[in-house]
Amino acid sequence: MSAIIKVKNLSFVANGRTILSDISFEANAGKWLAVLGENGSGKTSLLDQLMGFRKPSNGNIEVMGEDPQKDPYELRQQVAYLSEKVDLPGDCSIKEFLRFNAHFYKKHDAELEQNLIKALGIGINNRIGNLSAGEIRRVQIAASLAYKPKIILIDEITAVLDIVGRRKLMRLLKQAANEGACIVFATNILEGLYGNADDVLLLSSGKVLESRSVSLTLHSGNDTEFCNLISDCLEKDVA
Amino acid sequence: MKALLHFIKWDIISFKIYWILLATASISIVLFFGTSADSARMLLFLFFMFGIVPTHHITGSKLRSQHVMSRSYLLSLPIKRQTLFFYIIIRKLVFYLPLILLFYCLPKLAVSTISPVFAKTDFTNLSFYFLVPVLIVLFILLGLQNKLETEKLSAHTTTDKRFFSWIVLFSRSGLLFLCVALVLSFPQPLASVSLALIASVQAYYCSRKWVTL
Repeated sequence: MSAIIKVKNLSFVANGRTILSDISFEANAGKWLAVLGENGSGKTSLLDQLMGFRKPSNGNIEVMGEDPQKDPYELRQQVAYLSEKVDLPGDCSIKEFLRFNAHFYKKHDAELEQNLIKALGIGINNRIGNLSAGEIRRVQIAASLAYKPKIILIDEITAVLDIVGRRKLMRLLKQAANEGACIVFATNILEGLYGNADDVLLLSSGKVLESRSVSLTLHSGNDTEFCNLISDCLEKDVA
Repeated sequence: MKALLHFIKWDIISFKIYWILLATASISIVLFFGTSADSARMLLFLFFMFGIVPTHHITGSKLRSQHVMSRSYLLSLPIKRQTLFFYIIIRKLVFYLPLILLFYCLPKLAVSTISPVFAKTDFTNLSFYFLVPVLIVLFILLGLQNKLETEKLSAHTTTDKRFFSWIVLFSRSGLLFLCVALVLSFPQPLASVSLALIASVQAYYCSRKWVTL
């Protein structure tokens, strides 16, 4: 299987601080890669690099064969970016925003969007400014998954979702992965990853920690073992 | 182009109440003060302020904001980022259309209001009609530069660095104002071309900053 995302020896230095150091990994279509690590370990910066928001100091990134730094805008028709940093205009209603957003995507499926709205329990006539952070994320999920992206980049949106919202998101992502989407999921919350994620990229202070054993636990261990192993790895590294 | 029209439609709908207020205020001014120089000056001020209204909304915010689209969202759209930046200028220019039209309809009065020295210029010159939007684009770019720099300097962790960045920001803005003032004293066609060049350099600088988070 050819990798849909290839990162080789990626380093990123900002304001004299090394944020990412010599990161290499690959992510495949139909697979779910969980990016885990402590606060400030470089998860958001890594996703920013994949979106081409920031220029790497060193190394190569390929997303579907394209360099994100070269602004492959057509490629973004197939990329969903779900981030805690994404704010939506508060003045409009959800319906207005969804209509606005749909305009940009050729493969937007109105019927699928309706199903997602239903599944996520969104009241489309509500004004975005009146929504809670978790509800805004649900709108973002519906807007992003409605054009059937091939790559879904998620940057810590589960923290604001309630337990039901989280479960629904996991279900939708699993379904997207089964349909061939590549998911890169950066999070601090381990709940729901076991049984869903296929691989783990464990970051600590901008470096990749040994991820193979963690990935193996995803397949052979259980939820508790998985969570303990992650915590142990990170704690050991900090110590 | 379709995307640009989509954005413009979105902006007009988002600010429809402001457009209605602008129309109401403009009609009221003309009704109360007639077509006098005073009413033209009031309209000039009103239209200038109106252009500033959507600045934050259109630029998008890098920092967290509850009511404004974040730049992460804008940059993740499947539109070429440099084109998206160009759209931002056009979208802002739409809100300056009343001001541009006023300048075009009453050039002598409008210019004498902002600069009595400049009022001596011959307004029959065609380049004046080019100079007006160029000046407004320059003003838009200056606002954009200030916003981008402010975002950057608010991310600095030490007071010293922030202070230094403020000095750089003010100096740069001051220098640009000086340049524009100097160029405006040139003969008009030369002034228009020179300002267009300054605007291009400024646009290039701002676009590079805008597309990077």
